[in-house]
Amino acid sequence: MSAALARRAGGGRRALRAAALLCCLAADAAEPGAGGPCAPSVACSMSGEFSRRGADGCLGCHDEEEPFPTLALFRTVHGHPQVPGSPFDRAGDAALPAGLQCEACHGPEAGHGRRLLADGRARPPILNFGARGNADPALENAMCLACHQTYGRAHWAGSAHELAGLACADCHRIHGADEVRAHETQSETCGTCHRNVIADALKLSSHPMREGQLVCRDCHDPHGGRGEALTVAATPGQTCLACHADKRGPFLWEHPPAVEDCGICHEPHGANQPALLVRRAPQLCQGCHSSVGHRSLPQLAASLPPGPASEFLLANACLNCHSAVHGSNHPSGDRLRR
Amino acid sequence: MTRRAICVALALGSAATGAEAPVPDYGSADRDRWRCRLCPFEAAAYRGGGWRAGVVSVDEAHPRFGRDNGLDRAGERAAVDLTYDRRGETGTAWSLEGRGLGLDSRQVRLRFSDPGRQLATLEWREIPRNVAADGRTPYMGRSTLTLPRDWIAAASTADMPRLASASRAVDHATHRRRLAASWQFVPAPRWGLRSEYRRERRQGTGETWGDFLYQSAGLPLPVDHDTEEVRAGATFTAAAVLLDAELAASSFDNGAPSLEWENPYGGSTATGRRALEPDNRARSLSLAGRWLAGRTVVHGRFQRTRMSQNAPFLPYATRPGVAGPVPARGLAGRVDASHAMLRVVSRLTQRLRLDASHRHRQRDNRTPALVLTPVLADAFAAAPRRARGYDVGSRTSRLRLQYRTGARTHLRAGLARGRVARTGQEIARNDEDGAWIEWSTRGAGGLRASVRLGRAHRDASPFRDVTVNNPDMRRFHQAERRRRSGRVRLDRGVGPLALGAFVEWRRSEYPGSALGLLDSEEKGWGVDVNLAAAAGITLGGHFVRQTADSASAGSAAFAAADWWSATQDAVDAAAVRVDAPDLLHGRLALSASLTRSDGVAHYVTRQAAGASEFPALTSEIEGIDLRARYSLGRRTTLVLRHYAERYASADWALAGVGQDAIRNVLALGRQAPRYSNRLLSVSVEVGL
Repeated sequence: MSAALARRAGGGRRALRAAALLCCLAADAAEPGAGGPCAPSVACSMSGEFSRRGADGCLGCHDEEEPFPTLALFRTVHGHPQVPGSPFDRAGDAALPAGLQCEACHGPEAGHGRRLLADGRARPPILNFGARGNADPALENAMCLACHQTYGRAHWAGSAHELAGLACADCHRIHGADEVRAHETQSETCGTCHRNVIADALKLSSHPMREGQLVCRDCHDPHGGRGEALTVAATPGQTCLACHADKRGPFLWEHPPAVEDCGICHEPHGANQPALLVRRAPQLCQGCHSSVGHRSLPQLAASLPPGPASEFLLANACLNCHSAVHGSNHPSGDRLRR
Repeated sequence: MTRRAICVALALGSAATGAEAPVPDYGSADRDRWRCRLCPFEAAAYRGGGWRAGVVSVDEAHPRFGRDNGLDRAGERAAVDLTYDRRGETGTAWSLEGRGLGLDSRQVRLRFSDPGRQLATLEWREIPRNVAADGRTPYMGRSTLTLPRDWIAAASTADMPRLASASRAVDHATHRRRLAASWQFVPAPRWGLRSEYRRERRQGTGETWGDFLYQSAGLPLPVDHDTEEVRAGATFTAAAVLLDAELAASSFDNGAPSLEWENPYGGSTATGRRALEPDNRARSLSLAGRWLAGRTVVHGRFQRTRMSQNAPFLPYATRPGVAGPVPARGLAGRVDASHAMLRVVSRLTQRLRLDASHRHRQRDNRTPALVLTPVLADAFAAAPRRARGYDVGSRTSRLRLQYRTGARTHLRAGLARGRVARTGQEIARNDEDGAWIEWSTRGAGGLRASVRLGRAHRDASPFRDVTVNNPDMRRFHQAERRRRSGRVRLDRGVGPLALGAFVEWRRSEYPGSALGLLDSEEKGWGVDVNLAAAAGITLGGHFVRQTADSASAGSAAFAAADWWSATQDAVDAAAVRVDAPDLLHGRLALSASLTRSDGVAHYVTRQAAGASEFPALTSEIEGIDLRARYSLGRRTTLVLRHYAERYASADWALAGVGQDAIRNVLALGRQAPRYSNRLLSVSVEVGL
């Protein structure tokens, strides 16, 4: 959060804060039972009353001196008064909860701001998000989906991330720069859970994830992709073909595994073998091919230089001849050699 | 949004998780005194941004160092980043972002948004891919590769006298240039329209191989690909219903449809010719919907895709008179693919949730079957053979139950049943049944834990002898399989300290395979630590270890197994990072990170005569990244970066394999990469 922004908010801030605290004291004294008969819980606060002063009541305490700064919100679309439908929308044309300021997302204040920390009594909780979340992720997510119910999130329910109990704020930051939406920092956010994928990016062969040329969102839709594993396309193969359309064919001579699933031979995030292969040729190829002749021969270390170097093992192994491994469109390419 | 719509959103959340989500009464808010005096709103109209310009210096040229960032050459180059944001009084916003201008990996993005109404983006990206620069070849040209005029052919590479002197270095590198544009528009409250266009040109040189029966040569591969994709969709959203339709079309054009090369070995065939990837087209229609009925959400998707290809056929052979004309001008290839998904998520009780889904995929190759007379190595006509495509289809049903045992604790269990059906292959059908159980909690204080165990059993239909394979061979993706898997994950935040750990494993056995893959096992574990220390300093680190072992069997005698091979892959990855963003009263920000990964692969082949162990395949990468930002003034910042990277690898398939190491393979002579390199960048950042 920039100091400039804090200064801009400054002005007679201390005076206002003092006034806010006085108001809280007065309200607390006037309504000793604030919070109602409901036990103090976030779910209870959802059915509580909205505050009298809106964001002014919140910002009197929750400022840049808080461990979790809030004022950066006002540099985002959520804190812009001219954006229709935003929590701070001043026009008042958009349907609720637009314009309900902090309480549009955090729910009714429900007496939360009417107590002083010093008075020793528990402060009625208000809905928190993300790392400080204090409610079921479903409730957190419902608050977001109240406005963000668009096509891109239509299939959230039942998606892998929803099934895993993720909340929107586990990945997204609302009160400031949303790092998961930036190319440079997206993989760090995803990597907090998918640490093994981050490790994959360092392997011998990998997609250019480490350099940010390819980000998770290019292949996966975290809000409920069309395919399994949240892929953006309906099948893993179609996802790959978005960038590798040269492999789409159909070819005159097809290689059946290439037709069925790229993942049979390739490990998409990164592999300890060249070309993202799950195993290298000839061992990978010999997992399927065992006809009479060279395909069935065991490959031995004695075939490495300075010994009699084997054409079936070295350089590109099987692909030294069968180079059209994804399919051939040559009339004489039946053995994937043309 | 109406209150009803809010209720729908909340109901969606509750239906999805089994939790009862209360609905705030937004209408009860009395906003008469909501002044927002403390709200530090930006000026209604806002302009901001900045630029950063500087110099990037790289010590040594190495393609692997610059594999994906374009920094593959030594020396200095200018780099410029810029951002510009402008927001109008009505909330409309423009932003322009440029990254790496001056580098091969540059990108520019222009974005216009009118929140709640429309969003448009225009993007230009360049993505380099440098693979190797140490390959050597005697060939010249792009799509027609010729040997030097004074080339002296020989039956063995070791006997080619002009090989060394005539060879030149060849860069294995490609460059993608991508233009993308998108537009989303809300014409009416319930409607959304979207469109997207993307064009990508990929040019450069790859590597491939061409053979003349038992003699082969590594060849520089011309890459000149042009891919276009366009999408348009519409969404209708009502309180309980969402409907979506999308049309998409894609085309791929190859500017280098064939590759011809001269025979370096001499013999009766002077040239060989390969068909490269043919031009192709695809178009698809997608329909999707979501329906909310009480505590139940129903999702459905359907997609129909047609892929076609009719690139002109090459002749059977370069050598005239070996075969007659090809019986068709082109393939007239056509594949119809469909995908359908139906998912029902229902909250049966306050604690119990049901999730059932069915997914169906089908790929039908409707290409007319051709009977062709392939010519081996452009020299010898073989027996006529029928070229036919393959169909494959799958369907998977899943049933999942989730029981909320506590406020934030869940017990989940699931069943899955799937079938894959294929034509023209030895195993026509696989049926797989699986089950799993999971416990997870998301407690207070940042505790998250989950344990998941699963097993699956894949059956295979009877073997059909439709290929020339040994009948005891079972291809690993079709074979009968027993699989067990598990995963444990634990995350805990203790004040400023966050700890995480995971363990996962998967073991697969192939009891019906006498030849081929017999078993495989993947394991992984990792830990990560993050500490928010004093003064805004954060420290973080993680370590991940992954292993993959497999065992296979083969038969040289075309009978029972007489040799066995084992592979063992192990990769360790670790990173440590320190960030101090607020030193010298906010003027100085420092960060340092160390990243290291060690990969090793072992191969062993066993026969009756004994075991043959290959040298270890290794790859090590270690990077130290130091960054500093020092504020020179209110708007000006000095940005420094020092990055050192060491990479070392050993690969027995390349080690010592010079151009003439294999008597019948004219290799490119590439070696496993190894370097120690350094990048230094100095730049000045100025805010507008």
